[in-house]
Order: sequence, then structure tokens, then C-alpha cells
Amino acid sequence: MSRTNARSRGLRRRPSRTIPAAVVAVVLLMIGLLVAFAAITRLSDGTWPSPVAKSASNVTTLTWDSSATLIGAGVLVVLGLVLLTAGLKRGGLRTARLAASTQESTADSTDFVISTRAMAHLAAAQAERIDGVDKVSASATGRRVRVKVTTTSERTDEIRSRVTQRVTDTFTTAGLDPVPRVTANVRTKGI
Amino acid sequence: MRQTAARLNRTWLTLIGLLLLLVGAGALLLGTGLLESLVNSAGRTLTQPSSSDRVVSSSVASALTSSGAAIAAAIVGVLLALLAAAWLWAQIPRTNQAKPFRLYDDPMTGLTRCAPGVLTDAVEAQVKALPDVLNASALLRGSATEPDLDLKVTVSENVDLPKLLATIGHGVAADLGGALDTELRRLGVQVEIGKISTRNKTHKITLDARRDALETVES
Repeated sequence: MSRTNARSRGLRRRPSRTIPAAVVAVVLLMIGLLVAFAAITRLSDGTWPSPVAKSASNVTTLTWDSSATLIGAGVLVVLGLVLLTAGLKRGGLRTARLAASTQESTADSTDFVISTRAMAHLAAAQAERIDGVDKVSASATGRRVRVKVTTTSERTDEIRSRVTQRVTDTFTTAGLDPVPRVTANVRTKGI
Repeated sequence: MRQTAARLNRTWLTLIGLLLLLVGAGALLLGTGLLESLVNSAGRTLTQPSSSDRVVSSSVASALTSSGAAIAAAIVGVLLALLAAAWLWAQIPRTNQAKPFRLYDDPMTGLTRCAPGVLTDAVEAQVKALPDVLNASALLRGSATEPDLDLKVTVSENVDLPKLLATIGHGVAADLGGALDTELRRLGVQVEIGKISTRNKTHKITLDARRDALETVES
């Protein structure tokens, strides 16, 4: 198992599928250890451990058209599809590019990014400054920012427009390239 | 900024997923009798195995009871466990910081080495001193003649990002290049925003307003 230790790779990366990989690795590790333990016990004692022997005798009675075989095959298909999707699906970028003039840097090349989490924080902070806004939450991907606003005001359209404009202006000024599409969902707080 | 085993994970997940899918789909086709009808429709006959056959035939079952099968199982189990442990180990994100830079390597005049940590500490201190910067961490990769600098900068929400990036790109990068007597090959900056603390500000305003109101009542 080798890992690619390239020199500095770009900061714009897609999900590395650490969680599914760790789960599968742990499962394989447990299977490997159990198989090795059972086999070594068989070699030293002359008999397979009783849970293994019992499971093996159950498996030997199974036919291809038995319900247990079909259920097991179905589970394998589902697991296979999940792992295949995790392996092949690209996943969203966790950072967005910040435009910066390379002439302003003495480095040969620059790679300026902002994390989507930071974008959401920035959007929420800007929206919270608008008069009439009571509560804000925001989520962001590289190309889209969603701001959820709660207000006590009845003028939701005006607040929506001001939130959208302010957050868009903030991202434009910050130099996000491309500027993400901002959508605001304004809800009037009921008493 | 840390490097993860993305390619390794994706490759193995795809291979294992494909294997499970093929085995599962094959067993389903065989168990439901679809494989037999598919083969028949292709103008051929499927003799073995049929859907009523056992998954593990008696000859295979008897072979598995032998010592040879146990040895093979032990080897396969140990290999599988080792590979899985290596894969699990690869999940730990690595900084892969550069080894000490060899600034001068002529034994006649003396060897000069510089740990990248010394330089990144200086870069971090310089960046932290900039306005609206809450925290900074730096990572140097590459060599002394072609260094790559990755910076993670946590800033407040009031930051002027273009100005900050220009300062880092022009000032900080130039200073580091000057220290190494070269130009940076690549400068990477990842911006994070610090937590919003407007709730405290709101409380202050409320208290001040109450104080003003109290003072008005007292007077």
C-alpha cells in the first residue's frame, strides 16, 4: 500500500473518502485477524474453533436458490454499489478559488482558496448585520451559497433581496472566482 | 494543507466495490435461475452449477478440513490483516514537510542546513501580525532552491481579503524568498474565517442601553 507523496498538490481538492476507506479497512482487518486466528488454532489444536466449525457446517448446507444465499448476494450487490459510488463519484470541492493577481506575488505560481465552511461563515456574518434579521444560518458549496434567515419583519422580500445583494457583494469584493450564486430563504418568525 | 491518501482510497474502494458487485450479482443470477435462462436464450446449455446445487460442494468442503487449507487460510488471513492495517495507517493525514534545506553543501566552506520549521515559524509570526489575522499555520515543501509554501490563514469576518492576499503574496513570500535567496516556486493560501462573536457584541449594546436608561431615570 503506497501513498502518493507528490510535492505540493493544489489546495482545491475533492473528498478523499477517508471514512468509507477506514471502515472497509477495519472490516478487512477484523476478517483477516479472525481467519488467521482460526487457521492457526486449527494447526495447533487439530480442530477448527467451534464457532467456525458451526458456521462452516451451516454454509455447506446452503444451496444457490436458498433465501439466505439470495439475501447475502443482495447485500453484496448493495455494498458493492455503495463502495463503487464512493470510489468513482468525484464529490464536491471543499474550497473555492480566490482570484489574485500573480503579478502581485513574487512566487512563480499562486493558489489562493477559501474553504466552503469559511464562505458559509462569511455569508452568515454579513447577513446578520442587516437590520431586521433575527437568526441566520448558511451553507456553501464551491458554486452556491444558501442563507437561511429568520426575521420578525413581514417584509421578507426586501430582506431577501438585501441579504442576497450584500452576500454577493461581499464575495465579489473578496475576489471569489467565479462568484457563487447566493440564494436566501427568509422565514417570518411566528409568535 | 495536509495530504491524504485520496487516490489510494478511491482505487481500492472501486476495486473492492466492483468485486463485491460481481460476486453478488453472479450469485443472484444463479440463485434466481436468471443465469440459466440467459445461457439458454444464447443457444447454449448450463450444466453446472444449477440453482439447486450447494454453494459449497462436498469436495470443496472436505478439502477445507485439510491442514493445507488451514495453512493457506492462515497466510491469506495474515496478508489481508497486514494490507488492511497498512491501508488504515495511510488514512492519517501527512504534512510531508520538506527535510532540512541544504543551503551550502561544500565541505570546504562548511555545510549549512536549515530546518523548515524555523522558516515556517517566522512566516507564521509575520502573518499573525497582519490585521484581522487570528491564526496562521505554514508548511514548506520542495527544496531550498524551489520551495513551495502552503499557508492556512484564519481571519476575522471583517478582513479585506484582496489586501491580505496581496500582502502575503508580495511581502511574506518575498521575505521568505529573500531568506532562502530564491523565489518561491508556488504559494498556496487557504483562508478560513474565525467564529462569529456578534452575540457578545449584542449583549454589550443591551447592557449599555440599560445603563443609559438607568442613568436617565436616576437623573
